[in-house]
Amino acid sequence: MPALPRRAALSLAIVLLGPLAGPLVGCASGPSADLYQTFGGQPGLVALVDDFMDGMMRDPDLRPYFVNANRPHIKAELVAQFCAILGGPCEYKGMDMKMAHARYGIGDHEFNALVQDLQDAMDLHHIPYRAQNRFLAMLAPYRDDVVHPDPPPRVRPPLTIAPDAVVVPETVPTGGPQNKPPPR
Amino acid sequence: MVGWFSGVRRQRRVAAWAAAFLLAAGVRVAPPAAGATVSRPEDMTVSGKLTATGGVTQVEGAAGGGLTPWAVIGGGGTREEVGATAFFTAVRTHDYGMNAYGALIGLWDRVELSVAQDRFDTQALGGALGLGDGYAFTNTIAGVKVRVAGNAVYDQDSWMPQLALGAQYKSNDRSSLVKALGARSGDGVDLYASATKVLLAQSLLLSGTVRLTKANQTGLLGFGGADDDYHAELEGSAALLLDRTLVAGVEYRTKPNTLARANPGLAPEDDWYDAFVAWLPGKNLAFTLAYVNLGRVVTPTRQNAVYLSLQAGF
Repeated sequence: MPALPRRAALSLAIVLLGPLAGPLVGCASGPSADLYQTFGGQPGLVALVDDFMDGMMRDPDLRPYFVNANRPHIKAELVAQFCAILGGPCEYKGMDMKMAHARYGIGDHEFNALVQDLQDAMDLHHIPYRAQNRFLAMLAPYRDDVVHPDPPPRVRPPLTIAPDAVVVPETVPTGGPQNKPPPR
Repeated sequence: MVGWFSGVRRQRRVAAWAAAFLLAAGVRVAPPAAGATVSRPEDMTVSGKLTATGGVTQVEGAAGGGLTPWAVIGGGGTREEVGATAFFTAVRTHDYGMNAYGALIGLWDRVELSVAQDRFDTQALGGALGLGDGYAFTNTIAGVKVRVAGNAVYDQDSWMPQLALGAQYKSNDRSSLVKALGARSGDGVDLYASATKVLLAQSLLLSGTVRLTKANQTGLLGFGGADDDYHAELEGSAALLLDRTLVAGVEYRTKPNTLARANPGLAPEDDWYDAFVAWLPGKNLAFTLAYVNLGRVVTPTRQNAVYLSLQAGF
């Protein structure tokens, strides 16, 4: 190979970089109706969120956060939120993301696990990788609302009576409603 | 670089020795704050970061592309975790061979400590140059990198890249020979600043580095020559995220060319550039294949190289 001067080598690198710069100008970012349609519109999002939640329930990192939650409600909120983010005809009226997550002490690890479960669900629904990334780019800033590695310890009010002041008899069943009238 | 968001799972195998390393360094790992309503594991977790966000390992041992460091912290750990990777890289040209290997540890997505050894084998050319067949230069590199600001992946609502400052101390085992060739020293320190950004909506990664260096051929031919000054050199990477396990891109790295100005018997030192494909079949594994142009190295022949690298995470 003949000796290329330094400037020629640099221009070669720019030529090599050219095709990579293409997507920067050619590919739209942000919400759009076509992106919403790529995700299958409303039925597509409902199916996606169903599989997303199933994936999170199988994920040992995330299961504890959802096992005792109202999952149908969370899924409906996620569908509305995803629809609004993608550019669909929806408005997210659910809880503020920061308020909804602050008390759980969620770390980067859990947030990354969630992203991965979402990617798995999107793969399952054959959403193209580029479209997935356009969606994730809009979700990524939520990390700052969701991740709170060190939540403040919950402050309990001080006890005003001694903890053993009330003795519950062994015969009283626990767990059920306590105010049923005694059977006659 | 790389297959980026894939295969993230908690890894505990490394916890024991990582903890030992931290104790040795006199660092106390605080347990996560108690009191969360959902119990998180109380032990320190390892390597939860998304794949590819730690890059692969460049020839001098820092997390980055193949030739140049990125601002990312290697090892795959998040802000609550530590992680580690090891790498082996083989570069083969018509005349030379270079093997590089090393390891790094990433601490809390903040600090990266790395060690690497680059062995440059002159093969038959060493005999022709009067050094003896298979004469080799070995460069040992200790590196540190600190993330200063930003997050390359998550700050998608701004143009702010991830910024890092780094240093690489390099020591050449042939200091008397490289001094005889005209170099001022057998060891030196490179200082660099890197900015890295993933443009996720475009599935594109861009990274740039400014390096202050005296090194000749990254230090394989010593440090300094016609002058003993630091030279500012530019390095850059651009990569496309093709899917969750595949990344392809190009890199360019300028070099100072100080030794050849002191010794007209040596061919000028050229810039390096490459085109690579990296495959990350899982979070803890990366294979990189590249074509690298090393330009002229000592002789007037331009060195076109095949570059193959394996990285394993723990």
